[in-house]
Amino acid sequence: MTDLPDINIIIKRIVKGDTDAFGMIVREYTAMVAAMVGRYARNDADREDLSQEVFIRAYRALVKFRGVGSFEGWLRKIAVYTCLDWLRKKKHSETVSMYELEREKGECIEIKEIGAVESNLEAKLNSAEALEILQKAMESLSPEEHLVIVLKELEGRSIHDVSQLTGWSESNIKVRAHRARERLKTILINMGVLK
Amino acid sequence: MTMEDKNNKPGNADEKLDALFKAASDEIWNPMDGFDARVLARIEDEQESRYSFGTLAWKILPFAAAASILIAIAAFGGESLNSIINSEITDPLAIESMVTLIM
Repeated sequence: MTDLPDINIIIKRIVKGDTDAFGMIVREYTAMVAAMVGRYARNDADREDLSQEVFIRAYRALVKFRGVGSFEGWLRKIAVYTCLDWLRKKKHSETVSMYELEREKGECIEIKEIGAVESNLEAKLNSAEALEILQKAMESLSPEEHLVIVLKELEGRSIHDVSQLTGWSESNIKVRAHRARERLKTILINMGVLK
Repeated sequence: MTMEDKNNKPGNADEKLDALFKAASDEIWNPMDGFDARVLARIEDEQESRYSFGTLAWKILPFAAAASILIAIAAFGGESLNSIINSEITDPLAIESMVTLIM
């Protein structure tokens, strides 16, 4: 995050209709947003759509940004809510066709094999493979549990941070995080990834 | 050993799960070049469609208003004509003034 002129000046320009000024914001925060959404969606097309959606929502909501707190924090919240909405929508519209069911079975076998090999050899997992395995397993969690696992375990955020980002109480997050972790463990054992 | 025992056994599933989290957290995705241009293009498309909807609404508005007025006149005029035909007004002057009013 460097070389960006005063964010409030840029926002004023955008609100007056200078779309190009928004390009400065997009370029500045693309890496941050991409790193966040990359942990929810499993393929590049979905990740691209989700990242675009975050910036479009931010653009629409820009007039409401009052400068209370950092712009980065505000954008992070938008990203979190966009991802949560996307997970909810995805869960809701999941109608598995026979073809997809077969494909899922295939993926499960593939993941089982990776897991068995990795856990037997105690080898260091490739990061892309590890994320793929986790994302597959997290699909069985609720969108809220999925979100908590990503924020807490993959982004390494504290309970307090997660609470600030989601607006949920800290005790609620503790319960969700514990439950999600236990469920995830069971799913991964059933997949043959963990013993 | 049951599945639950395996889950609860320290240093087994939990440690491996943490290792999996750690490995996965190193994976960072980046969009392809030109991402900012694609976002701006989507914003411009959205603004354009909103603008063209607004323009269309303004173009249609006078026709819609004129049509409503014509419909109202036709309904009111028709009813008035019926009332003249069915009425017992015989005075030609009164009939003429009513027709003028309708016109």
